[in-house]
Amino acid sequence: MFKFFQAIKSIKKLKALEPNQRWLKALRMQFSRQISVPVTGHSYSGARLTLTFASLILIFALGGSGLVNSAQAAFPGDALYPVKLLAERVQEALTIGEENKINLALRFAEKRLEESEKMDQKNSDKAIVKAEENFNKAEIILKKIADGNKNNGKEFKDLDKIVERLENLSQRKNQLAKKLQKRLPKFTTVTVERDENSIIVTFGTTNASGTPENASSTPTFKINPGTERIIKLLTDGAGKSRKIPPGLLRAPGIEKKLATTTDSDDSE
Amino acid sequence: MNEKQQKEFLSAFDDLAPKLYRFSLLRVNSKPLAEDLVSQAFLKTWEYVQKGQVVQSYPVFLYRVVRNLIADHWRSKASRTISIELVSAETFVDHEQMPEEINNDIELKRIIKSLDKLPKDQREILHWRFVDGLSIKEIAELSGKKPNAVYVCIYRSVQKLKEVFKNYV
Repeated sequence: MFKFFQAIKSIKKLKALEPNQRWLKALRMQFSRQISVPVTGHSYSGARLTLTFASLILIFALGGSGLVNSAQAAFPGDALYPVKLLAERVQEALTIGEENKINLALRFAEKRLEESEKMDQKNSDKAIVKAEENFNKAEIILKKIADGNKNNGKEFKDLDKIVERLENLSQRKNQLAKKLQKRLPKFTTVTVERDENSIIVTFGTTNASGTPENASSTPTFKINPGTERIIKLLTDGAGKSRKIPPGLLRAPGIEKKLATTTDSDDSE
Repeated sequence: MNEKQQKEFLSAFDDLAPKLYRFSLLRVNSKPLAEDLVSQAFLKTWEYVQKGQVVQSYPVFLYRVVRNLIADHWRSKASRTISIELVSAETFVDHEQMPEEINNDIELKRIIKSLDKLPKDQREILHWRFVDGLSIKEIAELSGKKPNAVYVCIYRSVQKLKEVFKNYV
C-alpha cells in the first residue's frame, strides 16, 4: 500500500513542469485586452493601435518559438504555411473596426496573389482560392457598411479608396487566373452518341486561333455508373444552369479517365 | 460575449493554461510547440464563445481541443518536410530529445519514461487525476468511460506503474 501512494506521489512531481511566465502573461494580456476595448467601429487610429499592439504581443508571445517568424516565408504546400495562416487568423480575430477588417482582408488577399505569382502552377490554384476567400470577406463587410452608412459623408470618402483597392486587386487576381488557365488543356466541344451497349464520346479542342478541331481518336466506353455520371454532366450539364462544369472540360486526365473503361474490341 | 462569459473564460485561462501546457509538453516534447498548441486551443475556444456558443465545462472542452491539435500535429508530422532554409537551432525539433529541464532532472525523466510504458488511455487518466487534479466526472467525460470504470482504471494503472518503476531503480 505504501508503494501505491509512493507511485502517486511520484506522478505528482510532474507538476514541477511550469510554462514560461512571460509567455503566459502575454497570452493572457491579449485576451483580456480584447475584452476591455469596446467595439465601436468608428475609432480608426485607436483601433489601429490596439490591433498593432495586440498583434505584436501575440506574435512576440508565439515568436519566442521562432515558428511564426520562420513561417512568414512559407508558401502553400510548405510545412509552416498553416502557422502563417494561423498568425493571420489571430490578427483578424483581434482587429477592431470594420474599415480595419476590410483593409486587413485586402492585405491578405494581396499576399495570396503575391504567393501565387511566385509559385508554380500546381500550388498557385490553392493560393488563388484563398485570395478569393479574402476578397469575399472584404466585399461582405463593404456591403454592410455601404448599406448602413449611406448618409455618412466622412466614411464615404474612405470607402471610395477601399473600393478602388478592391477593384485593382480583383483585376490582378483575374489576370493571374487567366494566365493559369492557358496552361491547362481545355476541351471546348463534346459530342456524345450512344446506343444500347456503348457510348461514343468525342472531345474537341480549339487551336491557337480559336478554330475548333476534333481529337484524333474517338474512344468507345463501357457503360458503368461512374461513366454514366460523367456522360450525364457532359450532355445535360449541371444544376439549373445546365452548363458543363468548366473544370470537367479542363481536367487534364478526363479523356484518359474515360478511356480506362474502354472496351478494347473495336466494333467498327 | 457577455461579461459573465468573459470572466469565465479568463478564469478558465488562469486555471487551465499551465495544465494544458504541461499536458502538451509531455506529448510533443517541445516547449515552443506546446506553447503554440495551447495558444491555438484558447484561440479556438475564444472564437467558439464569440459566436454565441456555450461551453458547459471548460476543462473538458479545452482538453478535447488540445488532444485534437496534438493528434493533428502528429498526423501531419508523418508527411512533413521542412525546407533546408528554415532549419535552424530555433525551428528544428528533435522529438527524441526532451526539453532541458526534464533532461537535467533524473527523477522527472524516470517518471516520464515509466509513464510512456503505459497504454495511452491509462497514461492520460493518471495525468488528469494526479497532475492536473481533474474530477472523476471530468475524466469520465474526456475518456468516454463511466465514473466507476475510471476508478478501476486509476487503480490498475498505478499498480502497473509500480512494476514499471522497479525496472528503473
